Amino acid sequence: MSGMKLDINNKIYTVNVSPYKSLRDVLRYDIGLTGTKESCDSGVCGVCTVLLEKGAVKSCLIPVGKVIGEKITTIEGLEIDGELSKMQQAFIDCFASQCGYCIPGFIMAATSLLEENNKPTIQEIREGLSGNLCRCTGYVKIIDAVKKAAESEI
Amino acid sequence: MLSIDHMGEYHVATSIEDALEKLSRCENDSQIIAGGQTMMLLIRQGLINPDLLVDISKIEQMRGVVENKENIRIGAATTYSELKRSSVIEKEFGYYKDALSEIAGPQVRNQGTIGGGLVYGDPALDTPPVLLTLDAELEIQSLEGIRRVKLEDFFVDYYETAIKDGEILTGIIIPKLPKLSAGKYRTMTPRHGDYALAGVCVRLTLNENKECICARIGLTNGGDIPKRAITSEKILEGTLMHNEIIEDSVKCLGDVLEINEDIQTPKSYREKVFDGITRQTIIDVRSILDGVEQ
Amino acid sequence: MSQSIQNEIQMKQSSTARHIGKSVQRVDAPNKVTGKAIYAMDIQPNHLLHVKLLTSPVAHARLIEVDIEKARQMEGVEVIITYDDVPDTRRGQFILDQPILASEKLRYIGEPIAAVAAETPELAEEAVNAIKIKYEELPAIFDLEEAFSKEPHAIVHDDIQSYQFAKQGDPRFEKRDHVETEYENRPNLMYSDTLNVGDVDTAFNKADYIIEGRYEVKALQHCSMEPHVAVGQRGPTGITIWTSQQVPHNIKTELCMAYPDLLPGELEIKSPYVGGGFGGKITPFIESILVGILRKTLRPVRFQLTRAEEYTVGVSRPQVIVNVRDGITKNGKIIARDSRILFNVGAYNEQVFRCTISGPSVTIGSYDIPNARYTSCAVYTNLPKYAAFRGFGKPEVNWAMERNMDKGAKKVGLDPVEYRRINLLRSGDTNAKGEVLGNVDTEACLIESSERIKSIDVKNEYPKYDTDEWKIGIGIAYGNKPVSRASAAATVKIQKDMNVIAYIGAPEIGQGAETVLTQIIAEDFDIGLKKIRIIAGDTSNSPYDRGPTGSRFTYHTGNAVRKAIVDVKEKIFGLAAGEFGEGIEPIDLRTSDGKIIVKGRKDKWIHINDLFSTYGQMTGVSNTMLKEGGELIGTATYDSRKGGKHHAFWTPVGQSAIVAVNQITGRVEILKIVTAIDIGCALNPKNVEQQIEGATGQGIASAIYEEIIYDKGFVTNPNFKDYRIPRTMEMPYESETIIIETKDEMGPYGARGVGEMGMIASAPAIGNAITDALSIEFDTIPITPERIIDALDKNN
Repeated sequence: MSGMKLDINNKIYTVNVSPYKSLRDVLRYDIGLTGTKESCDSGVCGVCTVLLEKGAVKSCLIPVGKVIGEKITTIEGLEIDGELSKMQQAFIDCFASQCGYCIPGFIMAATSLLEENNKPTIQEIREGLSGNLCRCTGYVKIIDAVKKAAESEI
Repeated sequence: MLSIDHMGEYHVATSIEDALEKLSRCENDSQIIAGGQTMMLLIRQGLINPDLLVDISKIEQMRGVVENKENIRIGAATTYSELKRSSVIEKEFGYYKDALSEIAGPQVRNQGTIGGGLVYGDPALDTPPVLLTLDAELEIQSLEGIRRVKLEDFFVDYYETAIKDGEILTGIIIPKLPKLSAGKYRTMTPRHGDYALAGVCVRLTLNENKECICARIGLTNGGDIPKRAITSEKILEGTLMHNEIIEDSVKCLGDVLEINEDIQTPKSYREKVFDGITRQTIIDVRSILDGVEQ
Repeated sequence: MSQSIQNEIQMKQSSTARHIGKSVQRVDAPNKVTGKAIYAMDIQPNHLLHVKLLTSPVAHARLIEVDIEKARQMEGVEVIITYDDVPDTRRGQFILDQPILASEKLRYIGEPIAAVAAETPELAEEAVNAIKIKYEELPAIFDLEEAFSKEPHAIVHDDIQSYQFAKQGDPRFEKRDHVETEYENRPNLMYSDTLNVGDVDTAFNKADYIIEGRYEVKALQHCSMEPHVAVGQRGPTGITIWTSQQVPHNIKTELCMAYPDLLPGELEIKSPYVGGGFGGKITPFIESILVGILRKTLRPVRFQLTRAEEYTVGVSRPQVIVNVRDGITKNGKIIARDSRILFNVGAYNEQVFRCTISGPSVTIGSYDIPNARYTSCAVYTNLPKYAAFRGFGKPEVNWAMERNMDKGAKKVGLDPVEYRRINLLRSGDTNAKGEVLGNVDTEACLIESSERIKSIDVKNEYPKYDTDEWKIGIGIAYGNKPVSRASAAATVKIQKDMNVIAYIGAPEIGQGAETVLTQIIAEDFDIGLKKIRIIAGDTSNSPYDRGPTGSRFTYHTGNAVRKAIVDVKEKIFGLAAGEFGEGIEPIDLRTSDGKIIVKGRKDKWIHINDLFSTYGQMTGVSNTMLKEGGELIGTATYDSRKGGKHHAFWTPVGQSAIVAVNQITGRVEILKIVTAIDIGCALNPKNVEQQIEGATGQGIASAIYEEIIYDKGFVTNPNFKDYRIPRTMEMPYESETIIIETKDEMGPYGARGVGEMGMIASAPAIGNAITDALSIEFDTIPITPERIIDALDKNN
């Protein structure tokens, strides 16, 4: 499909790719936004998580033909005019990141979680992040960060 | 980094008729895509190589939960997340929410649709056993018109359903439950969100004398297709469901369970867990009904 | 090290430190939360070729023919290599047993036979499918104990007597002649390490009770979130390989050994941020193939393992079987211990020999056992290769030790904490190997972790589990983990305005190395954290470093950095004294925030820029050129191998857990886990917690979730769906870290290593807790729901 227009982080990108190509691959290899990551390539690990208007989705499972005309937000789109989002700042403040490879996916999933439920309990945070894998942290400080971000929004 | 360069067509359908027309006009290999959570993996693994994908996820007539006088109609393209948020479902058969929380994770639920799961025919999905306890019917549309199929007749074989080429599953019709009904879904997964090693959905309906007049037991991953434990159900019906009767009912699970030996999980494990969670879930539902005002 | 340098390094231990001991924000965090951090996965030059492998479909066979003719003609194929296209060398650490691509034999399912580089991964895959091979299948051996026997039904390396040995980084080779135990003439034995101290057999005869068991640890996978990936590019001076690796310098060394005609200067390895390693990213099993391709094309080439290939072409943590016998008195004193440890190497050695040597130290390192014996054996099988995983074999062996300790306690009727306390090695004690334990508070680790768990009112804290379905259990475990001696170097460069660049051979793999080194440098110069930049993981500009492995990085590289700072300060103060004149000596000076100040005379100072040249600068001072002496560089080696100790230091950990076990499903919930660690000095306390929480998490995963399931050598679960890597709901949120600080004599600011420590006793703490809950002994991990239900069934 030639001249496919994608609305990413409030910018329009035009790409010429197969509509079956995953959104993740288009972001990383056709547009050069490498913040969205690749790991298990089977929809389990969540490092490829981005935001659509409906919420967080795994971009490795989205054919790019599906999201023409939809607003897409990637990790690169959270920082606005040099200011980090509350979630990004909370991840820094709470020492949630170690190797960092899973972190963009977690931040996107957590951002979506708070949009749906702005006062989650610890259990709800754990469930809300159960689509993302981390090998370094044991999840403890990631959960702390989401809690902190929720508290700082009030 | 698997780049897919296969240049096929991607059509986002605007209505059911539009989707049906597009599918009928395609001479090559065409597929329907809803949430895509399964489709994308099949394409990447090379199991499916379509020339046309018809996307039905944005068709308004196929989305949403509508409460009618006698039943609930769920549009087949409604996502699991939307179902989780539905106050109608909460009110009419809230125990479906137990199952919805077990489905994969939040991202997959934001995309995955109830219809997509049903048509796929995977016996390990959480939704079919719940719908079996609700005596659900499916609404299937084609260029020839609309037909209804009972859910219990829909699953034909392993990953094979009664849907034909040129048909689209458009809705799920669920009759409202009688008063004095309660249900519960329970599953054992190695990790939260995994496919169930064993799962059961129990729905019981009583009369004013506390006798069970209707028992439904749906099994997750109990065989090649989603199914009910019919002999187990019959044992409960017409009784006050004392523990000995529940024991007899659970013993009959063996009539329907078809479990294969697996290198990671022995057959004996899954049989024991089906046994244990079915027993406990029947007891739990009975307790819920014990606490209900007459 | 001279006394003055040692004094210099030992200074500033107090609480008036500016940065040390503070949980300063991680310097890599801002880039990681914005997606700006670059990993090897993100490196994408133009005109890339993509590599796909043809791998062995059988576990053991004679390879007869590889026919690439049809594949070579296919669309988009640029290069295909087989054994004929790479040097006839074998690579390896310790023993040179592995060809770059399979030659006469295929020894495991997944062994690389040929590599195709093509325009897209799909085209490469199609060409791979067109390669024809002929082979003659041979009997294969998978069972570790049978492989170890004197007459196994298959021999993995029947020509092992001809193999050479490698000395790491040293071109001299040794012939194989080390095996001296009763275990000789075992055809699949790769290596064995032994100890025999005291008189074990007499002591066993004197013992009141013998406590023995056979304990097993199943294989599991590192599952770093970033897969193995390498991108090679030709440049003006040679080849640069960007790769996700923990030890770039080792990669370079091994590649130069495998390709003898490669000059060291022709090849540089760069590891940017690494998305997890855990011991699985130390050897060049993909880079050695990549170099073979790069030599046949001018295009840049990318080689990434798929997630499934991580389990076959990649490496995993070995299966380990430990048989241990403790001879104890009725008062609970251990007077003898005999351990036989088998490590599964897989088909070729990738680090398991190191586990074989270091793993058994936990048999004698935690407790005072005067009569001790161990035989630790590395055994070949026809399985995909194994490597070290966070602990180099010690967590696996400690699973056995600490489970056996609980059995001993039960036998003599003692509380498990008291039983351990009676036998505990303390600071100043000598262990069976003759090592004197340094300045650590081992008892505090044991007691504080267990006391914390015992203080919990379980019924009130966790009412959800107070039902018939659930059984609650409490378990404790302990481990004293040694860290091997090593050598590391560091270079620091001072620029205008007191900006400091440190060149470090090891990359940041998530453990916080960048941050901790930044704190040390800032403290030693008395400057702000933002003045420092760490350039890491690049062999073209950094000195040698063994990398973040074995918990040795902060200690060794931290000390190397401190020594390098002393070195550059000598230059700074020498030059500055000249600037001051007036009889000011270098010894009178100190640095602080860009100034060089006379000690005790706050008003008497010059600026660092006064040392730099203004030659040719329109706008002032040169960034890099001194008036005298070129660049302002300090460089140093820190070598802990001097001083005659076996190990650099020991870090003790006590871990305890509360678990709930469901009797219907066998599910285990970890309600709380506590780790007490004597870290010496917590340079960054939050960073210490990060490491403990992460390693403890992996220990939990090894205890109840993760297992690679093989079917006759075939990995049946090489993906995150069937392989049970835990998610948020499977890990406890209540993971506590208790930091104890008894300063190490030599560590930077008294610090010891932490990276692996959470792994050492977490699995046995959980195993002991599950045993407590169900009153059934579990000797094999993972203790899966399936194994629990089976055990409950057998018990009834």
